[in-house]
Amino acid sequence: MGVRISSQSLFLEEGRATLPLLGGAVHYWSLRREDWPAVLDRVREMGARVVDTYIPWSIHEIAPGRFDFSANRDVAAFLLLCRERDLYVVARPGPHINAELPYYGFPPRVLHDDRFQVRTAEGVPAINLLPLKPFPLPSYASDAFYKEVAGWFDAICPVLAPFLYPHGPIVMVQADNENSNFFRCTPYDVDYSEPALGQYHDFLRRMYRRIHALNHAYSAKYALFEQVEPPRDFLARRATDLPPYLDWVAYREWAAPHAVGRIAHMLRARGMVDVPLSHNAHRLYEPLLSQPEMERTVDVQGVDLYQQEPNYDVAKRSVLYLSGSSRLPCVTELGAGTWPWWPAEPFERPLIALTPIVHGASGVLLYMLVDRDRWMGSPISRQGQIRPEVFDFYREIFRLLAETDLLRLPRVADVLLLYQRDYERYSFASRLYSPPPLDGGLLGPLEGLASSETLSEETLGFAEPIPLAMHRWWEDAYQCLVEERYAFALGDSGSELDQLLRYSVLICPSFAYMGRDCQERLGTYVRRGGRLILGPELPRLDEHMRSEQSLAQIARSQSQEIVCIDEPGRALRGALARLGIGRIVDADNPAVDFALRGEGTRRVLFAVNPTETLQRATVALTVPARLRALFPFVSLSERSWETMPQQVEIEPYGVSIWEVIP
Amino acid sequence: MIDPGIRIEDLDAEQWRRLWRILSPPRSVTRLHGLLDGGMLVKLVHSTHGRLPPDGRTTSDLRRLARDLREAHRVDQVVLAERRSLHRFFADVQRSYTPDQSYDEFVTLFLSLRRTYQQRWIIEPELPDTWPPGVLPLLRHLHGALPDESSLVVHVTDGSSTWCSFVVERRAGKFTRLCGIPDSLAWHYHSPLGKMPHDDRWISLERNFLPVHVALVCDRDAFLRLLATHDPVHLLTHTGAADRLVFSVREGR
Repeated sequence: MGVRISSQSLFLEEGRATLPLLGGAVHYWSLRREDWPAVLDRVREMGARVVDTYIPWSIHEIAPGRFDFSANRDVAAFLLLCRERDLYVVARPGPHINAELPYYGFPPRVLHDDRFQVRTAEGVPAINLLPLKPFPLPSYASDAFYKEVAGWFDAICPVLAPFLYPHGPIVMVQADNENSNFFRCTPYDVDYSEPALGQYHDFLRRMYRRIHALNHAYSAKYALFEQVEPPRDFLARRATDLPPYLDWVAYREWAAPHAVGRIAHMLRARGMVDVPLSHNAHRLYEPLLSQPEMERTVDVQGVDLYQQEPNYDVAKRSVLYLSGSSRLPCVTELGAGTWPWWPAEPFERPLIALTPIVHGASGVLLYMLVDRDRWMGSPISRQGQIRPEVFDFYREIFRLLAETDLLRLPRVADVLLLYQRDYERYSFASRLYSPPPLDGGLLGPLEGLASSETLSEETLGFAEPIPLAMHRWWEDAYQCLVEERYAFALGDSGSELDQLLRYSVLICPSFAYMGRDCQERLGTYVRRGGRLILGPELPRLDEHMRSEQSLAQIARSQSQEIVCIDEPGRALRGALARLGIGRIVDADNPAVDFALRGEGTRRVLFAVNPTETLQRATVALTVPARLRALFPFVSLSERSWETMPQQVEIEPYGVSIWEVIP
Repeated sequence: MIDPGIRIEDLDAEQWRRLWRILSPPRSVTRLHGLLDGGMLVKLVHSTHGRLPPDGRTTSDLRRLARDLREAHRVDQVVLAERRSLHRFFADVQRSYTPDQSYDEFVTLFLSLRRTYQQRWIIEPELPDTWPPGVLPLLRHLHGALPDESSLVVHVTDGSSTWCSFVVERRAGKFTRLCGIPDSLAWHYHSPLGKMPHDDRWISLERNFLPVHVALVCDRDAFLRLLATHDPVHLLTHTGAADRLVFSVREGR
């Protein structure tokens, strides 16, 4: 492979060098061709190493089956200019790209082909209700859809292939974009089209092999898999009613990586080889957007972050989850500028810009580096002029990252708090309301229903509704880890064992049932030397509500390695102390958040003030050390060495970074 | 659809952000959201305190239930809906799609369908100081909508200084246009800072700005009254300095 993923970065085999995934989006087709050189010069001056660009099907297909790669559609010329400037490229040919285009990059003729339209639970063609235009959604379950995509890939891949590294600047190719049935991430909304139901039945067939096994699990009497009706609403009343709902969510969890996998396979078959294939999720964590499953399909999945300062914790959790579950934790779109129909901040504030770096991202791509129609506030204008305040800020950040090689340092974390997929699936399945996404107050006060918590209150015979109890337990554990300043990341119970074994302690909610696979994986983790904190109860059933006590038996025989706690908080603190888990720092101000990245003896300490007022704190590492300030910006000669403890002052919504010298 | 010949020029990101702070709802409303299933209250969520245990009561008089809940929980507003009616509503919305429907056609259709469902959803009480349904989304979306892919309607230039303007026209109960107008037209309505009238049409909304600077913004009620008329409404903005944004309203041309 010309490019591979190694040590939290891209490794260029030819040059025997690592390439930080640091840069952002430039959309050639929306700029005048004569402006490309000036724009790319500014991009290079800013310190970006990587340009990512969508390559929109709808822009290049000028008539059915006829493609134009001339003038400002000449993507090859654009790639040549990138190479001349030593800029590497992430190519994103879709087919879905969004890019604030009216049809998300699809030719309208494709969307209006009723052979492959997504259907809602009511059997109606699902329509995109978000700006810029309503349009029918294409179903990624349909073979006919992929035939259309093949026509586009047949046209674009030969254009891109000569520019793959080492012959050209393309170091990564993205398969599709934010694959999620176009943000339709609720349990009983889509896709109920015929091809999708066929796919669902195949999924059940692979899972159960024989229909009587499914009937046994479902307490049903189907003669054929094809007769199984998918759930269209949450109607469970007993625990034994759950399996069909859990299987439906598991199917949907599988469907997105499967679709991206088909696209990835098509790209590989058309010469997109020897570079990693990537994908990006529009948000984490969602049962339908499985990080482990996606990274079994493509080489890497990043996340897109469009957060504002008050949502620091949301952004932080996304990056924490990536750092605990991805082989290359990267923020594939970090908002820089904004789209015009969103009342958003321009995103150039330090807090959100630095959150990925603070919490362990190894790559950051700004969306966007350069303005275009329907995008404004980026560091560079479409004519190649700089927007000084924004440009200078990112240039300094990029310089800091290049000088310190910070992106290659992993987040220091002993503890991994797991999202437990069995309960997350149950939680997702038990939502009582499945609206399509809307933008901008169309439902008036009713809109709050979509954003509010709508999990069923049915206990199904358990002591209390497991989804509600699970979220409470998990949140308590998370808050404890934050407040006590433990070195932790967020992880996924579906991750490979090797990923879990990087951490000395796992924390995982557990209730009366837990999937057999997960019980086995956690049991193996403990047998291989890991320690496990569970709660509030040990599982005694599997996902089909049949007896399964393997984990409980290990807990009985290895009580030092598996701890079951009823409620996090004091009990979790005590358990972590007994397991010898220390804090990152001692600090006297709970409003200031701390994080540590490092490898070997090298450590970098971050302090974040996510509030709107100045914060002061007295900080000491738990081992003797000195600090060297890296940010806010000071020139190399001015950087000073300070001994611990240190009194620090952090601006509102500010971030401070120090190198730690033992 | 925005007039393809009209552009918004000279609006930088900071000015845009301030504009949106003005257009955001004026105050947060404490609200209870309830979901019903066949008349049984199965979910209750408080906008501040989160989930509340639903008492499982069954009723056919949603309005009365809403009033009781409002009184019991002392909230500004209660919103109740039969969950299946919400799903049916969205099915109807999507069923009404026609090829090449524009976003403003969609918004109009959406709001019209919403009115037909109004009896099945209870909003108690309707609050007068929130934006009328559809105004805010129109303000958001139509500004960003483009007549074609190569259009530069939303065009932001660097180092820009002065004008951002909107025209909202409402005809026969339908918002038909929202667009930016160029300096040459907007200048006609210019009100220099020092000559702003200090009557009830003008109020200070300093809290809408970060950092807090002087702001003169049209009175929200006056603005809503104007939107309710069938006459064209002209919203004009002027940034007199980098830290100021002035928003004025005039009736008629």
